[in-house]
Amino acid sequence: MDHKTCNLDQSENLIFHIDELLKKSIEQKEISPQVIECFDKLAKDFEEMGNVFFNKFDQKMMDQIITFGAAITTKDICLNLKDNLTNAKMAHQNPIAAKRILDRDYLVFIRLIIDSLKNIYDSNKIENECFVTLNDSIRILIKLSKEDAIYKEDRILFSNKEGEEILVKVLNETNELISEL
Amino acid sequence: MISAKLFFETSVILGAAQYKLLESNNYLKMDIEKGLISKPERYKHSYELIEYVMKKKGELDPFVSYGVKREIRNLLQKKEQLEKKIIEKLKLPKRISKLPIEDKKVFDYLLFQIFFVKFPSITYDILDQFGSIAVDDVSVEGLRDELFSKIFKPLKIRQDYLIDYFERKGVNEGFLIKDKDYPEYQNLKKLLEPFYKFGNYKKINDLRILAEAIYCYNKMKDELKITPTFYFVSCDHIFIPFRGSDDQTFFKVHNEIKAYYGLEPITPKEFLLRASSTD
Repeated sequence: MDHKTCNLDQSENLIFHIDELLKKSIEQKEISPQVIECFDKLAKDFEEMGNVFFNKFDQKMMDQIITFGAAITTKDICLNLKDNLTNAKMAHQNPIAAKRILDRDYLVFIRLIIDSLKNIYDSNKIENECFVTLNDSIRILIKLSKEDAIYKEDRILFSNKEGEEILVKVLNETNELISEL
Repeated sequence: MISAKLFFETSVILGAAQYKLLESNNYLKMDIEKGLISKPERYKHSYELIEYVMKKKGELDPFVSYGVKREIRNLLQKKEQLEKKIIEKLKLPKRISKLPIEDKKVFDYLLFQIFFVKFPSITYDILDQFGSIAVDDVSVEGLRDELFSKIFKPLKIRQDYLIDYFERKGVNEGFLIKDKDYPEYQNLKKLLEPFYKFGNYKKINDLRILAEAIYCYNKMKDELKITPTFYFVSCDHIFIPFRGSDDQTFFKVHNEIKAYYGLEPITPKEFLLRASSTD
């Protein structure tokens, strides 16, 4: 299958490369600038993936929310990891930060997300197994990064008031729907 | 202090999770004026009750059935469930059709964070605090059939008969409107909604969950050789007592469940009130 349009294969290869670079960093007790660049590249790839899925599922809102949301959330986590490595390098804690990423299996869960997105991209739909793997992996990544104090949530904004008003109505209706479950 | 067994039903756990979500600082990642998003009181009480019973474990024994755990996990882990029960009903495509693309992306991202990350995480955290009890499916189905025939069927027959009678008389609802004057039939119309909506009582999951609670209660009586004080904690209109204008609680279904089976359906608010008066 050709995943070039959304960088899925490229991102998968990048994960293996990051794995090698982290191991090397631990051996050499210094994080190479390349591993930081790789996380930055991975974040950009996930942002692009998000846009590809946003357009691909233009007519399927649920699928659009899941794939776009998953890709952008993973992008944020990759940026958090990049910042963490950068800060650790500056504070000369290099091996610890690199070792933690490997020991805590961050790359394994990012890889699972890529696998799930590949499956969705190929099949044009979200099978339940993919849905569970995708969401579980993201929740675990967020949990890990919160525990490791590297998780940051940036404030976001709508460009105009209308988006905010719709969101408020939707959330209030969600309250009612949960009551009916 | 009340000493009791508390069977928590699905709506209480989901309500508590929703309250915790609405209370969390990073709920939306954006600054929306406080007060615009409603926080239903029953969700607050659900959350407070769970906090309370977890602190009082030993005196209070909170638990759920496997059926409740399964129902919640199905909602969070089966795409179709969440899609059918929440996302589709929000009619999102039509609502956001006029937003600029960048705002649609913000919208998608926030909904993903809410429905697929934060709400499930909080719900699992709450659910994991509860022990669960396995039930025998055949016995539970028998109890569900009995519940329907003893308690709900007579009420439905009365309702059907009255609807038919007043239709023939050319009066829209007639006597049914006056049910508010007969305390034990208050809110009967709302209570019976699921029976009309689903057509078949076997499709009403709430009834099955109550049957599971009755099964657990009977099993505990057998095993403990005593009759424990047992509450079925629920926010569902189908079971809970409503308060009348003179602030007395009355509700035929609630009273009959208590009389026939010995356990009491109770709202989180009512339990907290009783607990605070005995603490």
